[in-house]
Amino acid sequence: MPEPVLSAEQYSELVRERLAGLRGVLADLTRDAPQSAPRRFSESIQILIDTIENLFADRKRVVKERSTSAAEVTDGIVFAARWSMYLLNNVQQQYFPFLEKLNSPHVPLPIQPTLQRIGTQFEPTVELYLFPTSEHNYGFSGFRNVVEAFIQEFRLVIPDDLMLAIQERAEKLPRWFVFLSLPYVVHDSALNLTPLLHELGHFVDFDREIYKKVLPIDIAHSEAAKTLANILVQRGSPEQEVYALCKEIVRKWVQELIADLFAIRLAGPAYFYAFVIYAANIGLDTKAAVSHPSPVIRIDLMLRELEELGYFLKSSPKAIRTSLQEWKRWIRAQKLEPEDTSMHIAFLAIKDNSAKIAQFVRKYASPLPYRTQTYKENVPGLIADLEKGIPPIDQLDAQGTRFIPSDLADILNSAWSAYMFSLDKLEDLIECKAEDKRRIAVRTLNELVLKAIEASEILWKCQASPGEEAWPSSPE
Amino acid sequence: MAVLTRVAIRRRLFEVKDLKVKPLLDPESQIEEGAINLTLGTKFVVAKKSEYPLIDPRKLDKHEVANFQTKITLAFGQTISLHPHQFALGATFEFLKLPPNLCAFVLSRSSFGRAGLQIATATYVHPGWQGCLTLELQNLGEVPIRLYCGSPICQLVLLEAQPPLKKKPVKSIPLGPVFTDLKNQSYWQKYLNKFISPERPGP
Repeated sequence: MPEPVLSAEQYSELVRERLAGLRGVLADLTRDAPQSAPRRFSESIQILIDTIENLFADRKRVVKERSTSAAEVTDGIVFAARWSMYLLNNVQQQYFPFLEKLNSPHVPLPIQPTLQRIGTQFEPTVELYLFPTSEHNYGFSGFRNVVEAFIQEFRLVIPDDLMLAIQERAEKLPRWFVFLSLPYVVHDSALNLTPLLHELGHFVDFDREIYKKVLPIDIAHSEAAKTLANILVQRGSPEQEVYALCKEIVRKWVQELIADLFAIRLAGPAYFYAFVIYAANIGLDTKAAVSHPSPVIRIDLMLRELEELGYFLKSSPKAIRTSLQEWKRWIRAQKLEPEDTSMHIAFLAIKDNSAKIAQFVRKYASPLPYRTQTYKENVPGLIADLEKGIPPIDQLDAQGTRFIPSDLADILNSAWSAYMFSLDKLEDLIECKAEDKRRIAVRTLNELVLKAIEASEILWKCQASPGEEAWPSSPE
Repeated sequence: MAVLTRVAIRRRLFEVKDLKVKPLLDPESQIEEGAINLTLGTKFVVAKKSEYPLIDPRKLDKHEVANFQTKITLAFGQTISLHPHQFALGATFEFLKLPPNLCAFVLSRSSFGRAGLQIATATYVHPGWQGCLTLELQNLGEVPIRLYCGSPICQLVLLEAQPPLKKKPVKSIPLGPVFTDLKNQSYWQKYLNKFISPERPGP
């Protein structure tokens, strides 16, 4: 289709309209957002829009100064307008959907501050947000240095004075904006919020670039992998394509396994149980995909890591140990090798390197591994609280003078242990029809745990800053 | 029936440990001479401007309540504004578990009361009760009141209950305000139904 003929002025007007439109939408999304919505993310987008506007004005000025004919001026302005529209399109498509999603009234606020705090242990300025989606999966999206990345890309065309102004505004922004999504149907289920730790693992992986330390993995390292690759080549696939696909699968799988290992080391058996229940929920017990290794491969790796953390030792709590041993027996009977040949090659490559992957996660992403000793010291008291219908918010110290807030990993482990091994005690506590007992016990358990996650974090913050008031000043 | 004073409250919380108030963000200032200050939680049920014609306790289904009430959750420290004569359900941030030999009353704090805020109408807490107390928040004044999640909004006065109740299962453990559920509390309908024709609306 031939391009419509527009004048330079018409092009400029289009840019002005687009800028006004985007600013209007941004203002609407920011103004109507819940109090917890990300103001600083909106601010970053605002800076980008302002910068594009200033750049367009600057380009127009330069074109007018340097051009020798009217036609040259027109061409220059049209080019600058198209370029500005292209940039504005990118900003709109890349960032605005997140503002819309974050305006949901069903963001699970109780767990957000704790995840944020864990995130800041890796990157102090990170701002982390949660949003529910209609899909039944969890996801990670992250933007590092939103404005700085823009500056880097266009540093050659940004004039010095504008550059200084942008940098001044950008300095106050977080280095990372992290968005974690979760299935809407579980937004109020504390047990099913546990897989968010895996998504947090993706953030830590990207921030620390652990996957880059693990990769590249030699795909045809083993004889078995070479044989499989040869089969694909003999079937007519170009050798280069075979290896490119396998390489891509390996990269994605390594990232997933790093996130799994991070979550296991952070929360121990709680993440393991959350994962197996999630895998059962989505009906993918055996299948692998290009984006994710099969659940059986992941379960196998997690069990190995739990063994390293001491959960198979005789000194480990019996219920957990017995349960994990059953899983281990089950996994031994499973076929881990994927049916698909490319995935099979990737599986072999990763299998040869699983120790290396675990080693890097331990080194770069796990300052405080959740060992069986931690579980034994902290969790039984919290389980006892849950069994009595008390949220496991805190525990009195040995001197009986101070309440120590519970850690997120301890709360999640008490929740999963109560759910897996002693839900009958909570069932007995509640008076209702026999057929409703389990459903009501699970609902109550989730509410108790959500309350504990919310309140323990607030207690932790209050105790962390003894000089400050615990709450906004009361008029009395 | 004796009111528990600071020493007795501390004893039950820290030594006997049969009274649970969780979390105590600042025990020194929250436990007063004869009461515990409780703070406003983060969950609310507020009235919707709706076309729902009438709340009839005999007919109200709990699913219908969503037509005129909506749940909102805020973060600790965030605010909710209560306009003159507006009604909302809130809950204490603290979870309580009373032993079988203690009961309690929930009282407004006078400073909020003077600003026009009423916090509860059903103020008695039974021995053995556990959960977060629902607060019936109403602004009786003429100017809006901003309420902070986490502000100390009411007091819990504890009293000894004799003889202690026997331990029995609980009906529910509320951890935030719940929708109005009048129909389920219909024990009184057994006798009232004798006077009300099923074809005709109630009195």
